[in-house]
Amino acid sequence: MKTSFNFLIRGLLMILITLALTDCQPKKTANVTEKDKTAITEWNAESLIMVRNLNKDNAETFVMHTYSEDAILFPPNAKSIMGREAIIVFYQNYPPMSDFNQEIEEMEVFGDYTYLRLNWSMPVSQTGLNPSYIDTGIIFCIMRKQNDGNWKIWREIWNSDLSAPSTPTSDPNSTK
Amino acid sequence: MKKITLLFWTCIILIGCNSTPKVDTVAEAEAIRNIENQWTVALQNKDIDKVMSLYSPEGVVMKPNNSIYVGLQSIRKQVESDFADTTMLWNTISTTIDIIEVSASGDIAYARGINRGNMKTLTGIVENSDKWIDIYKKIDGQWKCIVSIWNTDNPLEGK
Repeated sequence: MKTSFNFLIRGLLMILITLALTDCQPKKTANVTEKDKTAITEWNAESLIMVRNLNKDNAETFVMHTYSEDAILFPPNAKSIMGREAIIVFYQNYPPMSDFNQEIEEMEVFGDYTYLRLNWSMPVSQTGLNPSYIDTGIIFCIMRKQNDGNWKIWREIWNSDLSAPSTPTSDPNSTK
Repeated sequence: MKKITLLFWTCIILIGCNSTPKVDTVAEAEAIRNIENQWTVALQNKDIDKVMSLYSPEGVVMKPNNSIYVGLQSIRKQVESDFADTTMLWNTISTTIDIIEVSASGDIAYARGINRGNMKTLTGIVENSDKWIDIYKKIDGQWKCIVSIWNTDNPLEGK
């Protein structure tokens, strides 16, 4: 009886020691974050190439590569666009962006989420305007790690830095 | 037996000390909802100090058709400029919060929604609708806004 009790105590202690040692192991968050940052940087480079070659035929490929299934876009001067199907239609009707550029300005990884701030720029040519001008602005994305380990945009909102063309008020966008 | 007892309690303490406390994400989301509601009231009353108290020192504001505002000093100038805009009828502002999500770690949160407010225009009063995203970070036990970005749903004039 006493022997069985001793075995039980030893067994319990072994489990507790294992648990304690496992819990005391240094967390690997830092390594994961660096790996994630590298993956997102590479993803951004690939996305940029795809954006520059975007057309009606490859919009779906671009969206599948870039956005999560439940992604939402918040384009300026338009209603929100929810879900991949709607986003595909949105990009199928986008003007050519062969000279578009975007650069990561800030990236913070928080577990399965990352927020990303990018600066974008694109030369714009307008009829009657010579020379054309360069539009610049900010893209803000929240990315979410997918089940397969890939990062995709989950929420995206963007703005232009340039003053809005003549609007009925001095500042229509100051409610936040 | 004493050694075993000592070892037992050592293990229990080690496990206890290293266990991550569980985050009550529902309660944290409610705390952020409360902050967003305070924010709306502060806008209605043009309360600059209250608005500023919601940002972290390194806060970033990305207002449409403007350069980025980084840090409290820069953001305060932006808020002052906004509040000086008499075409905006600040007391008409209302906020709808669509969603608030708090990370499992409990130190970062995302909120998005829509602000509506009336503006005076040359053709009369019109309603402006802005969609916004705010990112919050828990700093010294308090939620502070680290990123705020929004744009309008309203089409550009002439479109």
